Amino acid sequence: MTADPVQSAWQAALAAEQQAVFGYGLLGVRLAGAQRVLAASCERAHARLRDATALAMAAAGVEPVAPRADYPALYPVPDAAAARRLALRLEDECAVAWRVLYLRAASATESAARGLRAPAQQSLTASAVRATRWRVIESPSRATDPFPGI
Amino acid sequence: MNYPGGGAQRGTSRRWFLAGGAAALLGAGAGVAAEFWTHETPPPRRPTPPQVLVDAAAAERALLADLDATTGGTPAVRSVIRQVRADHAAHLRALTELIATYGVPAGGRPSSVLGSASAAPGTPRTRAALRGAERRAATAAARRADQLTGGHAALLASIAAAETTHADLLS
Repeated sequence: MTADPVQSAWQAALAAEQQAVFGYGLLGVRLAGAQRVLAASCERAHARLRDATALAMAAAGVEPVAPRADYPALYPVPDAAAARRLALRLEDECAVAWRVLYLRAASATESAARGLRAPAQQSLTASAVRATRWRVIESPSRATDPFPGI
Repeated sequence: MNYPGGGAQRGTSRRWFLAGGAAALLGAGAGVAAEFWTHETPPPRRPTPPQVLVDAAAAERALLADLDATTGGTPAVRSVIRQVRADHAAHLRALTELIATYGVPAGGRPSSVLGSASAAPGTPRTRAALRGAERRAATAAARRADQLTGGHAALLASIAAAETTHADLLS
C-alpha cells in the first residue's frame, strides 16, 4: 500500500471534495440564473469525484475519511457575491489538495502511489477550470492563475 | 649629505623594491593558486537538466511567440490573450530558473540549455488555433510531468492545469 504521506494527502483531497459538496449546497441558493446552473454543475462534479475517490480508497484498503457534519468555516454566505467568493475558495482548496497529492505521489517510489498521479492531475485540472469560470464572473480581466494549486 | 643623482638612485631602488615586492606577492599568489588547484577538489558538477524541462521551456517560448504575433481579435479575446500571455511568461520564468540551477553539458553553453532569449518569430493564430495549441500544450505538459518526480513533476502538473484553463477560456 502507499506510504503514509501519500495516504494523508489522498485523505486530504477527499476531505476537500467533501467540503466542496457541502459548500456548493450552501452557496447555490444565493445564486440565480446561469450562476446557479454553474454552481449545480460544480456540485455534481465534486460529488462524483468524492464518491469515486472514496471507492478508490476503499479498493486500495484505505479507510476513507468521513465527511464532517458541518463546516462552520464556510459561513456566512449572505449574498451572491459571498457565494461566488466561496465557490472560488472551494475550488482553490481542492486544487491545492490534489496538487499536494500529485507531489507526494510523484515523490514516492511505490507503484500504487505512482498510480495516483493521473487522477490527481485530472482533479487538479478540473478544479482549476471551475475556479477560472468563477473568476471570469468576478473579475474577467484577472481570470487566470498561472500555477493552480500552488 | 647630497649625492649626485641620489634622488634617481633612491627612485630606482624604490622601483626595484616595489617590483620585487610585487613579484614576491605574485609568486605567493601563484603558490596559493597552485596549492588550490593541486589539492582542492572542484565543487561537484550538478547534472544537466532533464530534457523534458528544456522541452517545456521551449514549448512556452513557442506559445508566447504565437500569442505575440496574434494581434487581432475582439476586446474580450484580446483580454484573454493578455492573461494567457502573462501566464506563459510566468511559466517560462519558473522553468528557466529551475533549469538554471543545473549545470550545462560538457562543452555546452548555458544558452544551449536555456534556449535563446528571443524565440523564433511566432505565427498569428485564430482563436480556435490558439485553443488547440493550449490543449496540446496541456497534454504535453502533463506527459512531461509524468516523466519527472517530486517538485519538478508537480510544477509541470500545475502548468498543465493552467493551460487547460486557457483552452477553456478560448472556447
